[in-house]
Amino acid sequence: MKILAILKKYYMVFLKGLGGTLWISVLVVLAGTLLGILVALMHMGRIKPLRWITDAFVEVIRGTPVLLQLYFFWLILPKIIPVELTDTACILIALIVNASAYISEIIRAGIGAVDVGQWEAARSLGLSESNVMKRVILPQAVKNILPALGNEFISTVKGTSLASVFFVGELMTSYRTVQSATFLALQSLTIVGIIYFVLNFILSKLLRILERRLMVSD
Amino acid sequence: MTEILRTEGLKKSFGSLEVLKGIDLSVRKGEVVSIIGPSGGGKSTFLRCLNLLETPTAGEIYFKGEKAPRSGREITLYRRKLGMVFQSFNVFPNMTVLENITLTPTLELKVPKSEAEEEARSLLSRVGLLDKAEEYPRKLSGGQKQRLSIVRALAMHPEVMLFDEPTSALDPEMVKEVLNVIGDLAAGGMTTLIVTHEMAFAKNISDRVLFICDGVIKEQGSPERIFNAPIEPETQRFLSMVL
Ligand SMILES: Nc1ncnc2c1ncn2[C@@H]1O[C@H](COP(=O)(O)OP(=O)(O)OP(=O)(O)O)[C@@H](O)[C@H]1O
Ligand SMILES: [Mg+2]
Repeated sequence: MKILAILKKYYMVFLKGLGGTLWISVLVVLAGTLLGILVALMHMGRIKPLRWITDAFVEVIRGTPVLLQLYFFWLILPKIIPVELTDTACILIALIVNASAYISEIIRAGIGAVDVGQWEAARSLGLSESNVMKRVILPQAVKNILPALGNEFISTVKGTSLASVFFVGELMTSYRTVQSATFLALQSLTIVGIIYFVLNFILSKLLRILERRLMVSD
Repeated sequence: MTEILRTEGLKKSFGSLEVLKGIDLSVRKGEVVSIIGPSGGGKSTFLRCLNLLETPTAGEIYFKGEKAPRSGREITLYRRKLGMVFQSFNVFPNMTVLENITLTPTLELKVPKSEAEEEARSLLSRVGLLDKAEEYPRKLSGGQKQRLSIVRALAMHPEVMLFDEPTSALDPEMVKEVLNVIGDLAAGGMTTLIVTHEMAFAKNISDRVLFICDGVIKEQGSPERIFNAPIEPETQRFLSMVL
């Protein structure tokens, strides 16, 4: 019953939190994908130093906790960037950088899973390297990449909860707000938990449908 | 009797493994050359070097007297002169049969789409696949895929065709339909290099047979000479095993 009372009084806070979680996740995955493509291209490219740098980047991001990365960016960005940055901006940048490393690996794996015979056939026809990539390899790689990208979106939704440590407006921050106003921690947490679960449940169902679509066209 | 393709001292190593140990070959325009030999002898590597899918470690390739390029955009242009057909078909699964064929001519040669499609259809009818033009390759049998991969290469108007065991991945009942297409091409004057284990076929269509073993051309000659009177012990041993 206390849950209903909380909901009645604070539903706007939770809705705002949900909105925050959603737009942060969308932004992080979109920007992370763009940056991830860049990282993947450098990682697979012919320029050795770029390969080493991107390789090290991916390893470091994957080898350290996200929360640590958030703290790191939160501390260091204001020091090295001349313009005033909000906490939210620092955390967003950190989440994007983190996602880009994982997404670049998704892209690399997706491209790597395309049969080498496809590269060879496309090249043997006299397609230019960029057309081999654009017309033959990428369209096939996308089928491997999209489902994995969807999973990345779901883990990003969950990952954004860490932003609450910095009171960036998202669901977990809603919990902290309501919890400190009502002292009803368990109830607030349950509400937020249910929202996360329902959100990700819907997302993964949508993903399943998308995956089936992709399978059909193959 | 003009020469179209020549290699001089062609070598290829993978790390410390020397796979081609110096191949000298001159192919005449219109000539049909079959390549036979034991597994691991370097037959595929040789064909792949010819269209620069592998970069030779040493030696030269001449196409119509001109040195094959070593790097960059010229390689792309060079490859258009040679069509290649692989054992595993390698048709593009994300495109229809027609798109498989028109992709490169429209993109790289700027052939208008309607023109490219018209030619693609006439190529398809030549190999009995016209009714499959709008299908995706997953609906094709192995033999049909291989015929598609052949006309896809032909759409670029290559001057030489390279076949690397084009029927080895096929069910026996489909071998013939593919060999017929290749035979017709060869009979029509296409310069052809074909790696094959179909000895009867090689005997029939070839002007010359090469026996490649341990990275060198151990023996070569007319099909009658190679199949009926091989001189080298390796050739004799190989033929006694496959014939
Ligand atoms: N990319 C590669 N990297 C390393 N070794 C390779 C590579 N390609 C081929 N080889 C090696 O080169 C040797 C010759 O291979 P190749 O495929 O040219 O032989 P082949 O005569 O075509 O044999 P098969 O009849 O089995 O097709 C083999 O020992 C093979 O393992
Ligand atoms: Mg081979």
